[in-house]
Amino acid sequence: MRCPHCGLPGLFPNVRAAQAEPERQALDRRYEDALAAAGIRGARGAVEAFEAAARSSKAVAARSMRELDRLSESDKELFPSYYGMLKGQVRMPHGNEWDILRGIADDALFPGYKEEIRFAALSLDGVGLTRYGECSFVLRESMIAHRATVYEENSTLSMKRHAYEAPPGHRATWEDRAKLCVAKTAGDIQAETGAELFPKLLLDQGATSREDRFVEVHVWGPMTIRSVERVVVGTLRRQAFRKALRDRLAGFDAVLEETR
Amino acid sequence: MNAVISGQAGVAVLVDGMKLASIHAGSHGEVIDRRPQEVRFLLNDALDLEFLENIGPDEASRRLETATAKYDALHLALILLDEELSSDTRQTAAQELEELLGEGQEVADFPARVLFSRPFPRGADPAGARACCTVQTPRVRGLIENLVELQPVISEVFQAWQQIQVDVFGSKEDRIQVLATAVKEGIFRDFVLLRAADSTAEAFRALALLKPSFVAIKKHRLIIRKWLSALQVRNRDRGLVRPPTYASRMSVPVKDDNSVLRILCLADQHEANLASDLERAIRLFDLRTEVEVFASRDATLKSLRQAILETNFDVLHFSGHGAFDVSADKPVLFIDSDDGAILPLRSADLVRALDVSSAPRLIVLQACASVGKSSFEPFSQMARALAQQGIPAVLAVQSFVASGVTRIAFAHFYRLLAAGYSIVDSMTPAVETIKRMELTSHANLDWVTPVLFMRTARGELKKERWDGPDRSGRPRRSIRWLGFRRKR
Repeated sequence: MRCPHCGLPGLFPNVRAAQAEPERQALDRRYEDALAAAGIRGARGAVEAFEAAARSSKAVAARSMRELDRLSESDKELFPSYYGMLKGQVRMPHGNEWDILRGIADDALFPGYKEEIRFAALSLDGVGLTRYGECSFVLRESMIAHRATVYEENSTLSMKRHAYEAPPGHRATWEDRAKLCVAKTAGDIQAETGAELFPKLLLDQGATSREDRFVEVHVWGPMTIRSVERVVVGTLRRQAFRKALRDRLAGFDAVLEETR
Repeated sequence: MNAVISGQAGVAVLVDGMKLASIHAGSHGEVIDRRPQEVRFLLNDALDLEFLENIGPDEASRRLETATAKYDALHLALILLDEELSSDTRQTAAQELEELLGEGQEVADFPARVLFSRPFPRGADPAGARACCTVQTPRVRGLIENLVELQPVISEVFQAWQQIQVDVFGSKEDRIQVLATAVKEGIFRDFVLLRAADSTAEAFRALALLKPSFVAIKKHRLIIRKWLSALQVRNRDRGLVRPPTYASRMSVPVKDDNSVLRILCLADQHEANLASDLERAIRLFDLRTEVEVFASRDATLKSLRQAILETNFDVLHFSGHGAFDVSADKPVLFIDSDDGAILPLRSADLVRALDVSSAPRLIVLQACASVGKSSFEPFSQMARALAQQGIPAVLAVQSFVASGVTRIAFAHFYRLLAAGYSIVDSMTPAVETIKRMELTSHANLDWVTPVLFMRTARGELKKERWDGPDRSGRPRRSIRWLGFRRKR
């Protein structure tokens, strides 16, 4: 993106939108209110512990095993955006109400640049929203921090609920993600809430996609396997599959992790 | 209930009216209820969807495990060939692939069907793959060696395919669809093998026409013609195999009303299409051949008994598995029991069920190609026992070749039998068929191992009277071995 007047490279538009003063001020207000409320009910310590954890949260993109195979083959293989896939004729729209909702929401939230946005979710344990794919790609912070923003929840549903006008203070830059997490989640944290519950507070997979609870990550621009530091998968059927993935990922300085 | 199965995703989605459920590979058939919106996530972007109608959860689970094993086998073969992976990884892939190749013909065939469809891509390292094989992985080594040996032919067949104009298929999408069908049906693999054996155009056509889903393609004959034309396949021989010269000199009997050769096929579920495939293969040779092929309703003794009572069969063709009953030291064949379990069947049980006086005059015992050579022993022992108990002729056969080729060989055998040739004279060109159509590099394997026991003088099924058991109970004709080994 370049300035139409001077031609100088511009910032990433999603980051610029999150950095807008009204957004920052609204987020700060929500954050302070959440902390104050937590203090009143004696949960300030637990909320601060949650905030510290959220500061180390990762952006995790869930993809299928087939995508993992493709992406781990070469660093010339790209993570496509949803619209890139449609445009490149490598996938069809879902053919349901989500197409319409998503299209309107993305146009409103990412005006003129929705094709550039890749979606992920914040996670504390490296596991993403597995309904979108059994492989969780933990994105490398150094590769995305400057171009990633976070949004309160599933943006498609949120934008519909808010008549397609993003409410101020519901998005944040990458470095302010912990503030947004606190503003959103502090109300659910009690004094006795332990750290072991934090991952589920941040990302909770519901029975349906509407019931998923998570903080959405928007990354502007291309990514490859080099943008990934870790891939978390379920138990693989064959030992050779595990070893082959481990070998391939090691070539890009990424590690494979299996969950039970 | 219907099902959508993907080996790639390792999932079977069950559709029963408005109800949806899924079974996952390795979950021992556990059925999980699903909502409609979950389905696309379950199958992800899998490309190998198989749609099955009127199928129960148990069968869906079994088909899923097979589909998954097929996909895994291919994936393991690709890992083994990948030069960028460590030796440790590739050795593990070789070991795991070896296990899968021993699981059954359908799984064992799949990697070859795909890998024979195009030349090795850049980055494939067959020499390294070969080095990762050990004495514990002979099947994998055989596969890699075949691939290496046949690369020029694979390339030739692939290039010929590429030369077929898109308009022959209709559109680019149609071309992709036909390609997928041809690969899945093993037509590329078969064409490579036929090409390597310098077979005639008839052999290519015959094999392609045995593949039901390929034949279902509208322009399949035109596609084959263009493909063979680009391959410049020789067309000079008419007919796959000529009868041997000594047989040619025999006078072919004039047929009377009873001259139709009736074959009853009894096959386990792996060979469910045996009868229809045989029938189709026989018609490929000659539409006038007087052979009727019947399929037993199911592979149970009850169905067999009923079929024998209803129709006067000349041949009973059994295809399946056998073993030794260690406790009785007797060979047994496995057939289905009425309650769906697997029943071991001794020779005496079979003879009793058939009733020697009305039994087919020839019983063919075809061992499943997936069993090892040692597992063929029960078949030859069973053949001997059946002949001893009064069956006029019993032929036990195992062939280590593609099932399509075996079908064509049997079709040729039955056609000659129907024409009045003796069993031995009919068997010889059938084996020749396999020799001409099959690959020349199945290391350490026989092409085909037929063992024949006869009570008749010449084994002419339609002409001869046969003699009952002699006092010793032994067949009058001594054992005939027709072991056709490949030249080393």
